[in-house]
Amino acid sequence: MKEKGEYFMEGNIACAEGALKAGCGFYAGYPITPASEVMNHLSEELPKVGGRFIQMEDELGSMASIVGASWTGLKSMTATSGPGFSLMQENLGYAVMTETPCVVVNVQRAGPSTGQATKPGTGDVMQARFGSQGDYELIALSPNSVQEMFDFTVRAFNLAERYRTPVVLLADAGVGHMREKVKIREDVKTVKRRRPEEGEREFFDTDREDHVPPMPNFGEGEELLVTGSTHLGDGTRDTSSFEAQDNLVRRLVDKIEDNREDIEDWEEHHAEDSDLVVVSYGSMSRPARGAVRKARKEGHNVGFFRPKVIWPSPEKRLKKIGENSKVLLAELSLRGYRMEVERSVPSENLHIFDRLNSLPTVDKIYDNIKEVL
Amino acid sequence: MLKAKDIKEKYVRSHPSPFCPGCGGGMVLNSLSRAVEKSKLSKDEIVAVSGIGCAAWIPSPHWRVDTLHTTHGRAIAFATGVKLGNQDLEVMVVSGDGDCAGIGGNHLLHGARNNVDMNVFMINNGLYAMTGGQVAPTTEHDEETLTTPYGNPSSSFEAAEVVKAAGAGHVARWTTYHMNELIEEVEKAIETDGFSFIEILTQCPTRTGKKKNMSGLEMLEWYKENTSKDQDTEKIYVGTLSKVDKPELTEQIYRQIKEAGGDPK
Amino acid sequence: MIKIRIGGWAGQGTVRAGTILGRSLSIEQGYHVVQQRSYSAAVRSGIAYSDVIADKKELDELVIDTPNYLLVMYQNTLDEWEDTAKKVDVLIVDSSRVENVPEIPGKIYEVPAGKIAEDIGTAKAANVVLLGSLARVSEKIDIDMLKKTVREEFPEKYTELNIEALEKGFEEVSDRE
Ligand code: SF4
Repeated sequence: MKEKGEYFMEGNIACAEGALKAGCGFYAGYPITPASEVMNHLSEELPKVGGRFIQMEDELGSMASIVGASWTGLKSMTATSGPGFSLMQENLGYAVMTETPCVVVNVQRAGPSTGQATKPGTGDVMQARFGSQGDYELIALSPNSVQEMFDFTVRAFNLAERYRTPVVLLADAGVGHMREKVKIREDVKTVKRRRPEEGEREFFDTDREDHVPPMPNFGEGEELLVTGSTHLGDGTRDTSSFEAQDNLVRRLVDKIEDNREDIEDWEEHHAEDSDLVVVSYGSMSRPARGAVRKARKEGHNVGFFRPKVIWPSPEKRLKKIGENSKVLLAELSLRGYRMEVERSVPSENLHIFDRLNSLPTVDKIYDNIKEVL
Repeated sequence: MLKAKDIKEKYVRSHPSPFCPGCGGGMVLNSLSRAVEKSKLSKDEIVAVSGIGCAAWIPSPHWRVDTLHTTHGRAIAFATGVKLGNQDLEVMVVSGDGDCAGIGGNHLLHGARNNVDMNVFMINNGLYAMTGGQVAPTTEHDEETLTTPYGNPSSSFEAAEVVKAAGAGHVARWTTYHMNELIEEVEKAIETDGFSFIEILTQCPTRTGKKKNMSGLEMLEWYKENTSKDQDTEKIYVGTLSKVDKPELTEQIYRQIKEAGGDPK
Repeated sequence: MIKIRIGGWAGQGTVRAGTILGRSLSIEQGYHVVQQRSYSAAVRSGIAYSDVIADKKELDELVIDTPNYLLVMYQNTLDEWEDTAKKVDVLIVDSSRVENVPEIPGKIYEVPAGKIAEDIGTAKAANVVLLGSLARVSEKIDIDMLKKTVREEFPEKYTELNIEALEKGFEEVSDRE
């Protein structure tokens, strides 16, 4: 684990360092480009701070074992890319259903299928949200710099622990494989899951306003019932009643929905008073922000909006922006975030700059801004 | 030694049994509980991990220990996380033949190769029972099932032999007819610091029984007649298939952590 | 804004050179720096290169369209990049491995980096020799800071050799751009 200071570091390594600082105690993974560096780094560093590292036989197993380890009280994580992320979906849903805190890093690459393994893409945005079966909500963060690979990994752990839910760090090969300066602070704030208080016996339901029940560990004599089947507050499987399904699934969704204010995070510049607002996220949002800066310098009235937390999506804010100005969505995919933005911005106001395979230069987006204005 | 009634009281949650009359699932639960009672284990140390299928419901929610009822085929992978997470826990996996050797086959192989300290009980009824009796990897050649109406064109998978070859520390096979031997074998499994795999041939009167026109009792009779503790017969061998000493994964990883300067506490 | 591309055959240390340069500009010289690497995914063969972009202001340009400085360590790489080479301000080649240099409007420096590196101990240091030359050519790149970075980047037993490589590369070029 790096001491406090400034480092010139690759995004994936910054992610691994963030995990160490956040108190990660268990990592399971499987090699895949362009995410492997996270695993390579943790295989060496995690044992030094007492954490367990294992390379599993596949991504199904990686996702499964981090859930298992989380129930022994360890903060746990895996990292992968598209093909592996697809394999993880079922057990990711299991983590949602059993309210198991864990962090899943997806360093997105150009898909579909094997696609172009070293090239960036953000075609997994919808999958991160809807990839597993059934109704649910989860939290996904979208970093756009090496610094944010570090910071957002820490936040991903904190949110996972705070809300007893899997959190996806939805990075891309652009930020994963580039090097930049990263500042590592000593006083990184970390959060731990809420433990049951004396006499608290319901670990899968709560009356609390935040909808987050307490979480004990295996081996504490609680005779825990953890199941991916619909269950009652004490964990008992209930595969048929209306109440059980309605109560559990609604609470799981509300747990994210009702805590939006705490979870949501975005960056914006002149999003209120511009003729055109460029909406972008991930590595693409860097040249997009550069293009907005350039446009403003040239006297154009252009704003910028970037969700840092992409799920839950800041839909109200997007709607507000779309009401007042034209929107140019700039993304590294054709279908990544598009439907979500289309939902909030009237079609006559929405313009698209989509690109595949590689990041554009600032000028390329700037030219597009001028066309749309 | 506790009486049957007390064993039930101590180890079984009072939920209505989900099993069909005559099913072997309850007998397995009973054997596991008895073995734990005979061993030095406290039940608070046990985490029972299971996947999907009738067998997965043996521990969850019925066994009065910590349970982790997971996704289809992945129990061993979840269990690996539990064991590596806390070495002091005694991890038991209860999994059907389809769950364990079919959809979860890869985890079975690598769990055995890693020789990670857990006890895996493969409840083998020769088909997919919960979903209606479809052919499984363990179904015999030519056998009729729901999805092999013309007979199984494929051959059966010798899970115990494969697990042995993959390097598990302890491999055995018994049937629900052999309750006493099974209990002893489970005790051995608990004592083994490594991957213990016990295949338990278990009667499913509802699916297999119906096809073969046999009751649960008749199936137990069949196990008695068609198995042998002697390896040199044509019958199905029951007993220990292998017991080897080899490095156990958790032990190795905890040692490495300490050598790297960490504390796995 | 300075845009530098270092390219060659995989295994020649182009990414390593980019990292040293990027780190030096970022940590030691206080620039905002982005460094990208690019080589084929699974197999480590073919052209490998590294891009370094540095600016005094906050940096949102993550990729290079046309570099100001192009450093090339292998003939086939230069052949492949002839069009790019025609647009750069400065082309520096390892003349031990690049013999045919096209005519370009920009300035060309031919540095026998491979040979120099071999003479001081190992051909592997050719990438660092070229960095020394680059520091001579561009006054924005500080050779002393590069030396400091090399001391921190390499294991101790290789630092002296690499410092010498930097110096030799620096001395080999007599004029600034
Ligand atoms: S279907 Fe077969 S295995 Fe399942 S509970 Fe009934 S008898 Fe037991």
